[in-house]
Amino acid sequence: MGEDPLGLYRSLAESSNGTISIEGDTVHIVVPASAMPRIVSELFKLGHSYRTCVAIDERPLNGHFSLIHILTNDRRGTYVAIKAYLDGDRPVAPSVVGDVPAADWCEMEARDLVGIEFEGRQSYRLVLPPGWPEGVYPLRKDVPHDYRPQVLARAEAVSGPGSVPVGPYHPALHEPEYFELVVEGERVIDVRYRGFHVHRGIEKLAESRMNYQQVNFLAERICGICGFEHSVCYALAVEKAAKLEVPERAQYVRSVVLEIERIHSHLLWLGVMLHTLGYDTGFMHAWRIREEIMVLAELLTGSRKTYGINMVGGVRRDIDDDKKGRVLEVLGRLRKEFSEFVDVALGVPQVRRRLTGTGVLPREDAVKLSVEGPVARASGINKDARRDMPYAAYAHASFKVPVYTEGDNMARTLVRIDEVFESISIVEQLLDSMPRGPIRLESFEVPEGRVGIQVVEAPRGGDIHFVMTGRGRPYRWRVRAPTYSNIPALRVMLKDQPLADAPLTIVSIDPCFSCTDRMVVVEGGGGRTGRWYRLGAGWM
Amino acid sequence: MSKALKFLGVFQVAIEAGRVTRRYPLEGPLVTPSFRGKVSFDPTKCIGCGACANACPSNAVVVVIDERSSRLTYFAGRCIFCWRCVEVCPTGAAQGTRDFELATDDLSDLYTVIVHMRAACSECGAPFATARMLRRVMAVAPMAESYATLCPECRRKALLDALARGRGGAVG
Amino acid sequence: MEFIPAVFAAAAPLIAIVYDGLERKLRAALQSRIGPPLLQTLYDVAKLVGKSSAHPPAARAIAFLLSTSVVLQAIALYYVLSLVGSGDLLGGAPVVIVLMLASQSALSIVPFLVPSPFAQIGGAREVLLSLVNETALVASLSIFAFAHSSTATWWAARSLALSTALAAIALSTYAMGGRAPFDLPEAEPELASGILVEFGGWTLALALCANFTRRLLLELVAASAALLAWVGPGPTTTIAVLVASPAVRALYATSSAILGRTRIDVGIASLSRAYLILLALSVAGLFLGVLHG
Repeated sequence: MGEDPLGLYRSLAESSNGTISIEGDTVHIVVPASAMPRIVSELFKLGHSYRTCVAIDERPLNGHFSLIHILTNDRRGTYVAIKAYLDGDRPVAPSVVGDVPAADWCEMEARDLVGIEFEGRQSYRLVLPPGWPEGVYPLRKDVPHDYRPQVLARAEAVSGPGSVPVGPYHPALHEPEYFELVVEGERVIDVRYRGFHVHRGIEKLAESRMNYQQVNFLAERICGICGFEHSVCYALAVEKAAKLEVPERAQYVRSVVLEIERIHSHLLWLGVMLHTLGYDTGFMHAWRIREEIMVLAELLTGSRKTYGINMVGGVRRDIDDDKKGRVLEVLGRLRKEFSEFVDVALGVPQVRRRLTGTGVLPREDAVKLSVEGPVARASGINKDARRDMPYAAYAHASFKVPVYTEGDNMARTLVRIDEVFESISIVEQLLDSMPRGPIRLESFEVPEGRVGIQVVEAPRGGDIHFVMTGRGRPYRWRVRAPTYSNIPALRVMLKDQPLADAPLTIVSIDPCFSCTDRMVVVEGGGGRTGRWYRLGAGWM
Repeated sequence: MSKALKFLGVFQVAIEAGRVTRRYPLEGPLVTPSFRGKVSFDPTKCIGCGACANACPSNAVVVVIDERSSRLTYFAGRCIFCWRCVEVCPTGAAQGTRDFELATDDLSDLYTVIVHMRAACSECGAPFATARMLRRVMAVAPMAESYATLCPECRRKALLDALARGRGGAVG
Repeated sequence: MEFIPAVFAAAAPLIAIVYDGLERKLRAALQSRIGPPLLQTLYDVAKLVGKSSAHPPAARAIAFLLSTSVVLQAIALYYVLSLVGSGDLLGGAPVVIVLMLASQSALSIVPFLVPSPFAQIGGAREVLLSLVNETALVASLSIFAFAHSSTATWWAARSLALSTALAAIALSTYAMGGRAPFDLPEAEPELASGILVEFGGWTLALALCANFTRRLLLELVAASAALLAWVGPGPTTTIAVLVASPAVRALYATSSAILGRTRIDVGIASLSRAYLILLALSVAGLFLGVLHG
């Protein structure tokens, strides 16, 4: 990439007859659709992270559809948004999947929800359920948000003997998704995945029925474990689009609460992992330690989870000296307890033996699929949005980013354990240096037609929100949660593994399917919900 | 302790931690002082302005307006306990409580309904604001007494009338 | 005195359920919890019996096999306790072995009557584990019976035979009770409850009772062997066995709570290794100390 990334972006834009504009840390490049694959794959090859693509129905604004590929230059902390306008009511765009396998899902989501056809690739239905009527694209502006199609129930057989259905309901999974493991004896030879069972219509809802401040609360409910980072990411994206000067103290409060959320999330995950290994005692103790964080969160924010303190323009609750003292006390104790506990838990012979060497994700696959978070860091990719693209108050804290190279389940475990200690240290630093001042902007305007893109490092990896502002509410809001990028990597990790390790590997990416799905069919009028078909382990 | 026997440390972990579960509800309260619970709406303070309904992200509190009344309905079943209504209420009618034990077999326990009478315009007789809202406006800004009983339409007409007669300024 | 084995055997499923309640309390203490009340398992089973639920298609055959298994285990329990009183190990051990093998076989068939891939895989795991564990249990019980029943010329070698056989008995009774790290057939996070996946209501209650009774029987076998080796047969030993059985349960439960679950291939390998060593030593001791002299 060399010394002059901006020069590179400029030359790429100009050589394709496109335009380039720079807003803060975001480079907007608009090119003809045919030029997009070349630019995207060039930037990807040069080491940019491919984050996601956004399809927008801009027909009420300018008569076109648009498709935006978003990459980030992690070394410089720059967002690069490459946009193309598409014509007609059946827009077509060239696919980038050949060079950038990470773009597979978001292109298919664009196809399902906005109706953009992609040439140069095989297409399949990803997000919409099997009975969804053809030609109805929910995210188009002419489809109302409370549209309820008549969807007929249809049972699908688990394909043949030798297939083990893990899901949609399975004790190893905490949300419904479906992994069909093709097994030979106890060895997995192939994996088929189908997800998006809990698609809730969140993006459409925000675009139709809510205003800017209400969306914070909706965003927080994208996930029950990492909700606050979604709400922060949304708020930061809107603030970036509207160029708001959020008070420093608010950013500090946000960062402190984000790290507390990270600690709770990793402790939760550790407990679940130990439970999956059959070590329930470890699960109970991990969650006992986590309980102190939950009570702390309630003291700080008013709620154990879904903190509800984030607004566009600041936060609603402050951290006074009493609370600060309590935080430091709890975290000091936690550091010691957690350290002792981890020694014991990782000392259980079965835990150590089953985590080591299983579910390996080689580095090249990790890069090709642009995996996020601990999954990436366990496979040797040194990527962390808190350090690369500092947001909120992270520029004021110094912390290590743990990176391991083995890429197995144990590496992912160790990354998360190290991150807990780093988070404790970050909170201590931030509380120490928190500036005085207001915690919320009194009044502000959010102008229409602006774009804000923000990446926040969730416990599971980089979460990206894209906001295009409209009148009083987002015109388009796109959320790509980290698990969205991590699930395709499971195909690689599960191949040729013993069946017993499959749930283990699935849990090791810390899947959060609520985050991944975000948009669901509202079933009404006698659709799917009335009928149940049983095939072996159960089906929806 | 040798590496192979580290897992036996779980006994020490358990002993140091003791028993952490509690025999709720036989033992004390579970929530911290900061906890956000159910919202209580005080009918004596509510003026029916609808700020709470505007702010509510989940439509737990809605204000339905018809000819004669303005009806505020708070349904705790849809409440997400964010306390935005508490934040925006101008009179403090919406107050947060720490109540979270809301389970009941009678759905009406979860509803709070406040019905306001709408004031009729002294000129044209059409209903506009709630009577309480008018009284509050007049209490807060006494100079408004002269035109507070007119609906916005009639107020506008009166102003134009006054301007037309060359007087300008306050109406009436 | 003679009625004690009979009464205990008749009440075996109930006692097994109470012991499970004990185990849950112990597990809870290790996990810093208060835990469910002691009789919780009884309430659970009672609740299950009263529920109307879906059952696997071959429910009747399964019910037959499960209840047969429970009955056989109760009879085996009776024999074990009588043997402790009488000391006639060479005569009685074969009966106990046959009864245990029969009841385990009945249990092992059940998963294959359930048309779910999880049950099949769990059943396959159970069969593999049984092959290893049962062989070891039969061998160690036989060696123990021989060693115990003979008057030794070389005391140290007889002790070696007895103690290693006892160790093998302990390990096999532990593993056969489906205890971590060998709780593979039911592995809930992996196999969605494996062999129990399609049971509900009374079929689940029956399956759980069979599992609990099996555990009780296995622990009593271990306790009996230990006390026989230590104290020698007699009516007081019978009482001692009954008194010691909660202690054995506590030991097994604690060990199960502090370990994770292994993988089937690793588990079979480690078990086989352990048994080979123990049984080899045991046979050597038997040969040297008892047969050869």
